[in-house]
Amino acid sequence: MKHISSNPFIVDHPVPPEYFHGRRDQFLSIKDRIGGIASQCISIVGFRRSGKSSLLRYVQERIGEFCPPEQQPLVITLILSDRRFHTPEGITEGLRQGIEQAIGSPPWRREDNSDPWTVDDGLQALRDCGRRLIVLIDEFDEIGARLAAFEGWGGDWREKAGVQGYFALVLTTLHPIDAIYQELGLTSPFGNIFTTIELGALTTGEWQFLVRDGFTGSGVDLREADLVLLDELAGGLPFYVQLAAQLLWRHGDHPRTCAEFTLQAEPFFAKLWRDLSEQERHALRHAAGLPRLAAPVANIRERLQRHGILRSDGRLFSSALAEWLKDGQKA
Amino acid sequence: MTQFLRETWELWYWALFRPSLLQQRMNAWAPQAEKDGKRADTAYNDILLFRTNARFLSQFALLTLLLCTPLIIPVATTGEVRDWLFVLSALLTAYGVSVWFLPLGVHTPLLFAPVYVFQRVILRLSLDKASAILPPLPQLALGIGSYTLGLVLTSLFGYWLWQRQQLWAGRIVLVAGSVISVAGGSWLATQSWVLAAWLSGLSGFFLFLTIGDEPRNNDPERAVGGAVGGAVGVSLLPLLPLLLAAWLVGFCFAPLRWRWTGLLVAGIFIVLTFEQQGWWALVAGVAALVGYYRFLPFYPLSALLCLRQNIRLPRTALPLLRRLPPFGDEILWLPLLGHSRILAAAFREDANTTLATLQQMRALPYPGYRRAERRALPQIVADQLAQAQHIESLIATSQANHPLLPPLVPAFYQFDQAGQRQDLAAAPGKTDEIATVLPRFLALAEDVGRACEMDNPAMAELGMERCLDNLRTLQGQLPGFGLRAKHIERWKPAFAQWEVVLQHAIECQRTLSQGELLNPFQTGNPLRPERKELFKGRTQFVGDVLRYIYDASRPTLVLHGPRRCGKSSFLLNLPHLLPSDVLPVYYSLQAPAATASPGDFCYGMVRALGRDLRGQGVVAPEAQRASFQHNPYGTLEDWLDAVKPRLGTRSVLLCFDEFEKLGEAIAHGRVSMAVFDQLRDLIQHSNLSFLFCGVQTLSELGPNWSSYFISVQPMEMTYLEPDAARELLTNPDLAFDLRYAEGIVEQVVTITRCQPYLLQLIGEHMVRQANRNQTRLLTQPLLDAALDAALTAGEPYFTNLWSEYTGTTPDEVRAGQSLLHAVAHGQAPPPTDTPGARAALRRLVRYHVIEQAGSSHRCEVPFVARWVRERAVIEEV
Repeated sequence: MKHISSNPFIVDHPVPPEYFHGRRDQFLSIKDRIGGIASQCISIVGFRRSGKSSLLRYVQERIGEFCPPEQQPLVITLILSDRRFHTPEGITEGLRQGIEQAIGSPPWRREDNSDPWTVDDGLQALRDCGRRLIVLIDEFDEIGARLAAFEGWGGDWREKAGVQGYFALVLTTLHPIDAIYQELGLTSPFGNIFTTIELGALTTGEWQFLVRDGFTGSGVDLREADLVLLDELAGGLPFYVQLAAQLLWRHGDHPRTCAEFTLQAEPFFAKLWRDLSEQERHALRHAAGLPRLAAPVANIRERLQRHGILRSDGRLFSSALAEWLKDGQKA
Repeated sequence: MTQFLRETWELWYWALFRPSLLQQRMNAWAPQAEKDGKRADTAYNDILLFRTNARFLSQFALLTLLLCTPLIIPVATTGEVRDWLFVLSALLTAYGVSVWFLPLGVHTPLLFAPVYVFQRVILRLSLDKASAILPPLPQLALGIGSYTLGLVLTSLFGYWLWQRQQLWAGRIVLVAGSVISVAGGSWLATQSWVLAAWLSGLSGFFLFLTIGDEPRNNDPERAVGGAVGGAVGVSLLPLLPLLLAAWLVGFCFAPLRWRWTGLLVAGIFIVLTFEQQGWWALVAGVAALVGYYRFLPFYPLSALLCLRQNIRLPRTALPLLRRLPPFGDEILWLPLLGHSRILAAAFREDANTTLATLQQMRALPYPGYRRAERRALPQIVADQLAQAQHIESLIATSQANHPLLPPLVPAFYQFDQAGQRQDLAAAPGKTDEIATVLPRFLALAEDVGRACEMDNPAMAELGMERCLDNLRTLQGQLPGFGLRAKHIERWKPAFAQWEVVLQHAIECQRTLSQGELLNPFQTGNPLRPERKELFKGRTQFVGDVLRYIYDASRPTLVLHGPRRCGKSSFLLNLPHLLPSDVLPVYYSLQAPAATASPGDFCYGMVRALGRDLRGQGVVAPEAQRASFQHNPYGTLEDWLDAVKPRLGTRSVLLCFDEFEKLGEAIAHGRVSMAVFDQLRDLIQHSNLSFLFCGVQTLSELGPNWSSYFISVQPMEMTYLEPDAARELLTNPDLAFDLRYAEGIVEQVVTITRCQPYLLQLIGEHMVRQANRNQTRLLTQPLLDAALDAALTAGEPYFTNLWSEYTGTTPDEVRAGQSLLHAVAHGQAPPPTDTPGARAALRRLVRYHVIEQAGSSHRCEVPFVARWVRERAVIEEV
């Protein structure tokens, strides 16, 4: 293949909005929640590499598609893997700085970060002057590693978001929020102020559009057989679609693409495996055709299907994953 | 007769100016045999000699006779009897040459005329010499007749063999037969074996060299060879008639498609006339070329028309186009300056008519059209792309059934069996403008088509935005493709128009999105007073609260009930539910700050009082946080004393939400039991009424609570009234205009059992499904989809219920989940003979998860049962 442009597919970092494809149902859900008559909270649940960070980036950079101008949206993003946000005070400071950058004046002074009433007054003033504060929190699961430090923080933010309506929260997590706290024997302090959306596989139309857009835009031919290969390798999960398409674009021939994909996807398969519960792992083993396994719990299988890990026909989303499981290491 | 004469006229006109039409007539009147489903074009020798068409032959004869008139007239008026031999020769030569090349042959008598007029004496001398040499006429006639008969029979037999692919046999027959015919005829005519041998030998030699494998139509060499004979006589003419003759010969040869014909004719004229004319022979050659390339008389006229119209910028190009080739004269060896511009302009005026002209030009072999077509085509294609007025026509440009583009550029509309476009690559090292630009436009159009096929308007909008970005990128890339600036300029209108169309389409999609129903439902957050239209029902609770407030004993109210049944919403909306003489104040103990210390507790209470009283028209004094840290309860009392006069006769209902948090704060030592003393004192000695709100009752919280607050009136809040539930679904907002198909509302009321959170949750997703499907009528399939989505969206609620209401210890939870699982599936419940199982059962009943149904239990809320069946996973040990 002759290429006159750089590889159009992105795997190293969250996808910029102009290259974002699919997720229209999720967009509608987020729009309803944060851009509705009253702002409400929503959690985005998806396995690794399902596009949660890309989705948050899209919301941040294209907030106009979610909130009409009259709502005066003010978006602040906090990534909890960032060391600055490993404490409640750090998060409060992140919030303060974000507001200050957006409106030009601090809602409260930095030294008042630990004064809940002053912070409350600042947020109330922001709400009362018509600004709709939307706080995007990526990698919320990180809080599970330091819950002790966040004792009481969840209830405080639940109060601010749920009762007072100071802001709407959009969280991304690997697991449902309740599960994060349950893991440590606790009950989620957020109550039920969140509704949940799940990120699974892109629809066939969506991922094929993504692929065609990249190939056509760079002047490279794409055949039906290529689409079949990409479906076999990636199953519509966006990161794996990008990875497979990137390799196909680079190498052109199918055997080499398959070999490279297997090699590069292996660490991500391993991370995915670590994130799964034992019941979920059992379901994957069963789908891979490993012998002498009882059928998995139906609800587990269906949850994995909603997340795109299993296809609608029960197969694994990627033939490469099936092979990875069959190598005996995961029996 | 009129038709016969018209056809005779057409024979002459078409032979010279419209050879394609003449060919069509010949094919129709004397069609060739079909071979492999195709018929070859009928050659002149077919229709005039081998498979003569009587009508054609008679028209040819009439035409030849007419064109022989310039010779007949002088012979008849001033000639001798023997001069009629020249007429006969002219007619025979005309026929003989026409068999090979009719346009020249039919004009041959015209060449004889000037020769007779100017060189009559020389011709007669030649005739006399020939008569002296030649044998007597009868003998000569016998010889010629035999020779002719032999040649005819030989030709017929040879042609028959060629038709049967006996190529070599045919060739041999022709050569041998011709030799024998020549030999026999010569001997009969001259009685000379030597002459016969010479003639037969020479003719056999030349025949063997020149006869190919098959007779070729309009064989140029043969036609030119035929001209040699004519040129021999013509070479004797004076200069001016010679130039006219040369021009005529060249003119007649123009329909011949062999491109060296003109030069050959010119060369022959120069050679044959050089001896007579000297260097003036070159002028004869030039005259032949002028005639061959049709440079006179019509080309200057056409060129002038093109030039004049191009300078003046044509207002209507189509009439002008009809005055240029291929109209009138098909033959165009030299390109016309500005022809391409007129072609492009005519296309803009009448695309269908001009397309037919363009296709005609393509079918003609003359190079004069190639340049015009090559230069006009990019402009025409760019103009067509710029014609896209709306998104459908934009998409149509990429499809094979587009009325104009596929016929214009068929190479770019070749599809394989899978329907994929076959892309053309430009020749290496060569920048083909159309091949560079058009495929990219077509690919964009295909992408737009795919975007429009998206079910969801927002998805379609995004797809079109991507296409718009790609369009702009393509426009920026054009200089990098090697196109010249003036070429890039002609594509600008197409880019501009496509941008307009795409932007309009995006706006339409956006309008569809913005035309979505604004979702009025609120799931999870308590309903604040600003959303009072969303708060329905609970009128009985309002009445109960008022009754207890007005009660002289002013009991402490405890509003309890499962999570998400609307308790906080009820408290927050009390200001517009209660009469104006009761001022409700909402104080949530959820925030840690409220229970961080006694000072914070009191300060928080004062803040809440000040905020809510201010919202109901009572200005409360300011409070400083620092003063509460030192003496929280005293400062609180002082503040309340300061507020009291401002209340007048109104009473205050202080509502503590999540009051269990106070107990947690006491348990953790952040707040002491003194807070209970303070609260009890306030209840007894102030005109404040208190309402505690939470999941549990005071007695469930422990003895401290129940001993401090003796006169307690519990109120359990669970499900909404059915009428209020219906009202919530059908009229959540003043602007709400979603309609429900019959039975939908009742289904939702039934499966939720009017649980407020679930009503809001399902309502939210019903609106979302309606928006997704761009409808204002919610039908059963949409409800089914909404319910499925609500099971996912309500995950926090359901999992909280699954884990919190099934037990307080791990054993209780497992037992409770097993029990709930069995109940939801309608199965026999597991035994409840363990303390954990019994506790779980009590808890499930207490919090309205399951209820007694005869001898068994059932889930109180059917939708909860569905979640348990479809989504719940029993935690493993």
